[in-house]
Order: sequence, then C-alpha cells, then structure tokens
Amino acid sequence: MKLLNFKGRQQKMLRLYLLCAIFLQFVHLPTPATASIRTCDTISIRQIHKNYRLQLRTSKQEIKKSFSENNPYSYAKYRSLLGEEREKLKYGRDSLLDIAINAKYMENLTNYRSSWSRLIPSYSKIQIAGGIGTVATGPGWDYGGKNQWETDLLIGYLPKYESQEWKITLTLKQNYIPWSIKIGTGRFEFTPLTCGIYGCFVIGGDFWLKEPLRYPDRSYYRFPTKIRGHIFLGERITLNIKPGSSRAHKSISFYYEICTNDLALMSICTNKYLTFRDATSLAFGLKFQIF
Amino acid sequence: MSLKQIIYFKIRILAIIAISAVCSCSALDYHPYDAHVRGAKNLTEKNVNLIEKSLEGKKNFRFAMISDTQRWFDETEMAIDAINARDDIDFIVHGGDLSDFGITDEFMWMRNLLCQFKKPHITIIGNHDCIGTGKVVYETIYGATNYAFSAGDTRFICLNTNALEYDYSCPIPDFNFIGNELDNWDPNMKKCIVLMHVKPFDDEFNNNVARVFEAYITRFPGLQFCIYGHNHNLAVSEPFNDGVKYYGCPNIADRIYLLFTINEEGYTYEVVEF
Repeated sequence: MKLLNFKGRQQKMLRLYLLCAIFLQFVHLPTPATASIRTCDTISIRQIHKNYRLQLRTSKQEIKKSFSENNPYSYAKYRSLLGEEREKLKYGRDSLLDIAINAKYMENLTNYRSSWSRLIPSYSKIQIAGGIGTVATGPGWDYGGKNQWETDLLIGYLPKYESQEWKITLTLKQNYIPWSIKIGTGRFEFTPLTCGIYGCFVIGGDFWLKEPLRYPDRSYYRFPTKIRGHIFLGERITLNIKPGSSRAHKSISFYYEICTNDLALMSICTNKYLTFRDATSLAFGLKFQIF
Repeated sequence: MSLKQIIYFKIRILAIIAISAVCSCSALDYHPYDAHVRGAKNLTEKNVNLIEKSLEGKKNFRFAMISDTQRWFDETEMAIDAINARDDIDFIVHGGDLSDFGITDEFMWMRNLLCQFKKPHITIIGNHDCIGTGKVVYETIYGATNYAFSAGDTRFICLNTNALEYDYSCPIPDFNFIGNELDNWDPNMKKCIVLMHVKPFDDEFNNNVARVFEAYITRFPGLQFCIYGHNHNLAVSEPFNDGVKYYGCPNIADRIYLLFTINEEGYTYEVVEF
C-alpha cells in the first residue's frame, strides 16, 4: 500500500495531472453544442439564408399573381397562403442547416480523433537490466523523417534482493538511431549505432527527490536518490515481417546496449583505479513494431 | 493458430529464454540501488575471527586507521600499498564512509579494494553508507553495524553513531548493545577502545544523548580513547573534558593514516603520511 501513499511532491504532480485532464476535457471534446451555427462555415450558412429569402420573395410574387388573374383579392386568404409557404420554406432551410451543423460536428470529431491518434504507440519494448529493473516493458513512439527518434515509456520491476521491499521503476527513454543497413533481400536490417539518454524514477524504498526535513537545510548530500540519469550506446538487428503474413507486428528488433549512470560515471571520471568496465553494464531488449 | 503463428510464437519464447540466460551474467546492472550483492559477504565476522585468533594472549599490538575513502579509490590504493609494505601492523580499522552515494556497486568496488590488505581489516558504517539501500548492503557485505571484538587484552567497541540517518525505530547509538557489553564484560579484558564514525556534538550525532553516551562509555574498564572519522580532518580533542581523548582520522585524500600501538604501559599514537 506504500505505493499508493502519495506525499508532498507526488501529490503536487497528481494535482497537476488532474488539472491537465480537466483542461483537456474543455479544449478537445467536440459535442453537437460546440459545433453550433457559429462554428460552421459562414459562407454556406449565409448561402442557405440567402436562398431562403430569395425563395420566399418569389413565392410571395407568385401568390400575388395568382390572386390578380383568377379570383378577387382577399387579404386573409393571402396571409394564410403565405404562412403555409413560409413554413414549408423554413422547414427546408432548417433541415439544410442541420445537415451543415452535423457535417461540421463530424469534421470536428475526425480532427479530434486524428489528433489523439498520434498518441497511439507505434511499438512496444521489453528490456532486461540497464539500471531500470530486472525487466521493464512499455509502449513507445517513433517520429522524425526516417523515424530516427524514439521515445519509450517503460515500467520496470526490481526484486528486493537484500533490501526489505520490491520496487517499481518508471523510465522515460529517448533513443536516436542515425542509420540502418539492409542485409540481403531486406528481410534483416542491422543498426550499427543507437544512442540516447534515459531517466529512471524508482517508486518504493527509502529514496528522496529532495532530502527529508531532518537534514540541515535539506542539502546535506545534494543529490536525489530517487531519480537517476543514464546514457547508453548500442546496436540492434531487425527482422522485417513479410506484409500479408498474419502477424500482428511489422518488425521485431533485438537490441543490446552498454549503459552507465550518472553516479558511476562520476566515480570513474575521478579515479584511475576504476576501469570503464566497472562502471558500465549491459542491457538487452526486444522491440515489437506495430505500425 | 496457423503453423506460421506457432513458429513465430516459438521464436519469441526462445528469444526470451536466451535473454534470461544471459541475464544471469554479472555484467548486468538492474538498478544502482538494487542491493544485489555479489561476491564476499559477512566480512566483519571473518576478519574479527582472524584478529582474535592471531592476537590471542598478546599485550602488544599495532593497528592502522584509515577513514572516509568514499570515491577516493586511487588514494585508498596508495594507502593499501603503504600499509602492506610494512609488516608491523596487526590489523587495519576503517572509520566509515566506504561509499559516497550508497550505490551497491560502490560497496563492491570498495570491498574488493580493501580485500587487498594483507592483514585483516574491520569497518564501521558511515553516514554516506546509509543512503538509499546502503544500510542493507553494508549489513550484507560486512555484518552488524554495532559489534565488539577482542584484540589481545583490549576490547574494541564499534558503534553506529549516524543518528541522523535513522528514525526512532532503530536506536542510534544503541545503549542496549553498550549495556550488554558492560554486563557481559570479560574480566580478562584490561583495556577498551571505542570506534565510531561520527563523534558526539556533530550534526549527525544524536546530541540529545551525547552526555548519556559519554556516561555509558566511560563505564568501560580501562577506556583508552575513542577514534572517529567523518570530519575529514586530523583532530585530537576532549569533548567532555573528562580525560577521554577523541582522535579524528582525516579523509584518505589527505594521504594520512593513523597508527596506534597498544602496549602494557598504555598506547602511543602516530600520524603517518604516505
């Protein structure tokens, strides 16, 4: 239950998230009410009204003409005939307006869906080690001209080992893939270099972002233990799946990375005794490309 | 499921198995604070046994003290070489702060480095060793944070005094432990030396009980002196003005180690530069 025990800064983040959610409700949600006559294309609305007025004028003249030729003029009869004609034309105008409003609503809805559809993850990853838990998994998004940028959001599991409790890690990872080489018929692709940075946030355990109040000025150690920055270099090999096969994935990649964290890097930079190998570690993973 | 689907499924399963096999390799780091300790454990017990055995019945011995070696691996290596070069030292005392950030790897690097001492070494927990999962890693690699051992006719009381790092669920300093030592005092023990990382009246110490602490430790028969680290400077003081001297061991970056010689008349104290 400690995982749900939000305190201090976490509570602030939660509040911020709630505010964002409420804000998004107002900004994005299209309803028939938001697609009112004002939001529709003004030219087409004006045209509908103009047509209505024109039709009304011509039918007025027609009614007057019919009086002069066949039967004697009666004002009451003229009013009732004009009233009927006006009702008919009004009905026609209103149904046209309804269609215009509905079309606008559908357009809004399509825009809304397409803007949210950018948030559909284009792949999922599963990673082992790399300082973000024993196993971490989560969705990711690729973007850029050649999809050279990738952002992953991974959630990881860290067993307790010698400590008292197991932990959850949340990782935001930014990858950069400069180029890939096709092998043979293009069934396999080799990526000689991937690089990037990631930040890992650990939930559970006795860690701090800002030091607890018991420390003098809350700046005794001057570093957060809850969040760690990492950098990595790696390679990957991709298997492209034939289009038309019944697989759910477009391609599957296997990758490995050599990574290090900020504190380990700081230790090797200030010491000759420690070697590069001491501070770096390996990570493996699979990437399942959906589209 | 078509045949193709079954094959793909099998490939995926095989890949996962292969990866989990590689996973058992030690080059993988799950988290800087994963508390995943590999290699030697329970070093305090092993080294204390070695010291007690080698010094049994002796009244003269000599020990060196280094302290605060966090993130000063090069200087620590120099100190090890300097101390290993002489053979008149019986054991080495580390005054705490083995790690700087409390990350698990740091403890293992420092453990592997300190194991290069030819003579047994003992450590006490420092405030930096308590960060994150450091406490449990220290306890796994070295053992209890409060312990006592005998070297010849001298009893060494090693205390955890990093009160700022703990809440009230864990008493620091632990008067129960000190009380037990007093109650079960071996009459063959003529002298006593107290080791701690933080001395009384420091920010880290529980100063509410500083005088109580002094009252407790002065009850030890033949209390010689106290030694501590933490302050990163060489100091000799008498904080309670009651004749009990506190020797402060400087940080290893000063390239100094303290040398204490215990003999029948008492003790001598030397500062050795390397």
